[in-house]
Formats: sequence, C-alpha cells, structure tokens
Amino acid sequence: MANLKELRNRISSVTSTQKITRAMQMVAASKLKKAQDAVESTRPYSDKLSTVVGNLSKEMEGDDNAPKLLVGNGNSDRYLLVVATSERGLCGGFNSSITRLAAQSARKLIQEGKEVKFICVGKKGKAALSREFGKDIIEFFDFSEVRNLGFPQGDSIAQKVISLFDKNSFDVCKLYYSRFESVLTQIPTEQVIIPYGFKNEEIKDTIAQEACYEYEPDEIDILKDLLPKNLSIQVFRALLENFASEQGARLSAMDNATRNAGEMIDKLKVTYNRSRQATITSELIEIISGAEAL
Amino acid sequence: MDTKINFDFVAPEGSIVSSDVDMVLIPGKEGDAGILFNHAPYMTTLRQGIVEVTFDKDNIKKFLVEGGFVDVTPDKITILAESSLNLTDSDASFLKSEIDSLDKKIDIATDLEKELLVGRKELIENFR
Repeated sequence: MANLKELRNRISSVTSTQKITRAMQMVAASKLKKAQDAVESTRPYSDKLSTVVGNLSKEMEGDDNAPKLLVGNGNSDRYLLVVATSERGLCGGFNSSITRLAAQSARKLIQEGKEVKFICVGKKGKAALSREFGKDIIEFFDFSEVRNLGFPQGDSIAQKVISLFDKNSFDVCKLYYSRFESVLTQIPTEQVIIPYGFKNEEIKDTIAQEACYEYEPDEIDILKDLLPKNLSIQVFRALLENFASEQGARLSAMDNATRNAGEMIDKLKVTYNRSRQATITSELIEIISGAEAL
Repeated sequence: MDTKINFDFVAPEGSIVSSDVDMVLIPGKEGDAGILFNHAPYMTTLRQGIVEVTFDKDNIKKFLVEGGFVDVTPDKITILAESSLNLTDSDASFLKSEIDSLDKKIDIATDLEKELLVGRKELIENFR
C-alpha cells in the first residue's frame, strides 16, 4: 500500500486537474452559446443568397456560357480539399474525426489516380494531416490570433480558393468541417463547393413571379457576381458551425474529464482512509501487545 | 407616400435593418434607383456607394456599402451586403479615425485595392 504522503499528493493533484477541466467546461459552455447565436444570425443572409443563386442557376441549366464556379471546368482529376479544424486541442474526438474523414477520402482519390492538394484551416488539422500528406498542403490559415471569427476570415479563404481556381490549379473543391447538430453530436461533413452545381433547396418564389423579374445587369452577370459571394458565405458558415461544434465537443469532453476526476478522487480518498486506519490499528496492536508482555 | 415597403438589410453576421420604410435609394451597378412600394420585381448587384433609407419624412439614414445585391418585389426590398457602415449614426470622431486608417491603408495598397479605398474615403468625406 502506498504511503500516506504519496496518496495525499495524488489527491491534491487530481483535485487541481478537476478544477481546470471544470473551468474549461464552463468557458466552453458560454462560448457555445455565443457560437450558436452567430450561426443563427448568418441564416437570413445565406438562405436568401442560396435561394437566389438556386433560382438563377436553374435558368442557366444547359447553357454553355454558365459560369465555371457553377458547372465546373469539365474535369475532375485534381482535387482541392479544404479542411477546417480547431486551433486548440482538448476537445475530444472533434479534430480527429474531421481529419479522419478528409484523409480517408484523400486516400480513396489518390487510389483512383487523382491529384489531391490540401488547404488547412487551424493548427490541429495541419498537424494531423502533415504526417501523411505534408507535401500536399499548399496553404495554411491560422486564426489562433483571431478572437471573434468574422466574415473576413471566411472571405479570405474563399478568395484564395477562387484565385487558385482561376489559375486552373484544381478542378473540384471539397470542404471538410463538423456540422453542429447538438451539444452531444457533431457530424463531420464533406461538402463540394466548386462546382456549386444545380442541386438546390426548395424555391420559395413562384415560377410565375420569377418570369417577370427584371435583371440589371443580366442574369449571367448577376450570377457571376453572386457565386463568389456564395462561396464566401458557405465557407464562413462552415467556420461558424465548426466553432460551435468545437465548443460542444469540448464541453462534453471536459464534462467527462471532470466526472472521471471526481471518481478518481473518491477512490483515492477511500484508499487513503484505509491505509491511515491500518497504520493506526497496527500502532494500537503494538502498544497493546507491548502492555500485555509486561 | 401612404404605403410603406418592407425593407431588410442583411449582412453575413446578422440583420442590420428590418422595418417598414418609405423609400430606399440604392447604388445599382448600372445606375442608382429609388425603390418605393409596388416596384416591379427587380434584381441587381450594387457598386460601392451609399444606400439611403427613408424611414419616414424626417428620419433618413445613410449606409456605406462596398457592393452587394438587391432583390426587389412589389412589397419587399432585400439588400445583401458583406460590409456596411452606418454613416448617420456614427459620430464625427469615429469617421475621422476611419479616414485616417484608410489613408494609411491607401499608402500600402495595390492599385486594385487602392481604387476601392479611395472611393470609400471620398464617400465618407462627402458625408461629413
């Protein structure tokens, strides 16, 4: 049985670990609330934009002049994977589940003979991916200095992607992030952002109303203007979802850690009390047997 | 103007204005437009400029936008803009500091960015 001093030290160290995890849990809870509000407040903008882009792109269907961002450049040999993860660890399986998904599909693409490049957002994803795909990471965005994630960050990533696309450095762009479902579930998600495609959400305006819209400049120019914006907002939204997911994951990871620490403290305390009692008993036995011997 | 039109001004981070207004003046890519109630369905992109919102006769607000998109239906106007600055509600010292920081940015900007920054500065100066 370990000696008493050792046990006392262990108990105090576990207690301070528990204090830290509990503090982190509370910080994550308050950040989560903010992050959820942020996701919520981008909804009007992104919904409107995707409705409009959806409407306009429907009219473009089959048109040879349709913008490249919408229909792609006709190939699918070179892939650009944008992997968004967090800047900090201690959030359970959050980062590893995103990078695992990205790495899996990268391996699959490489097996099919495609070329794969990465853009990493966040230190953790870069660290995980650089072991296997180090030389394929062409760009790394570090937002660890950014306190409040805003539209400019999403925009800067999107601009980079668009400029690479214009230079014809890739054919298809996929975005990896974690969709925020609830505090307990975050779903690693793969989303194709270039080409945006004709898939589209339900169209709210009636077709009849659509027909009499006046466009200035014409549809195709508006669409050309809106597609990059749409890309920015998609990336921005993914970043926000990711941030909310990170906080959710950290909240539950830290909750577990706090609970585990509690259990451990209880166990250690029992052992401590037992061994203290054992010492006292053996001392008593010594005294009594000493007295009897007289 | 008896009838008001519903006006939504949205940025990526959230809604900026959402109310019923008399009129909205927008800097369209191919010319300015004043939108009243019962305007024909209309869609356009915006250039850098001032969006002027007339809430009612003596409540007019001006917003600086760096481009964006407008969707007009007979009873609703929706403006989507990535960045906007409420000129009417900003105080003089803020605008002054904004101009100073723009001056610094103009010095180091590339030609393409410079045009936008100078445009922004002029618009703010005109407002003052």
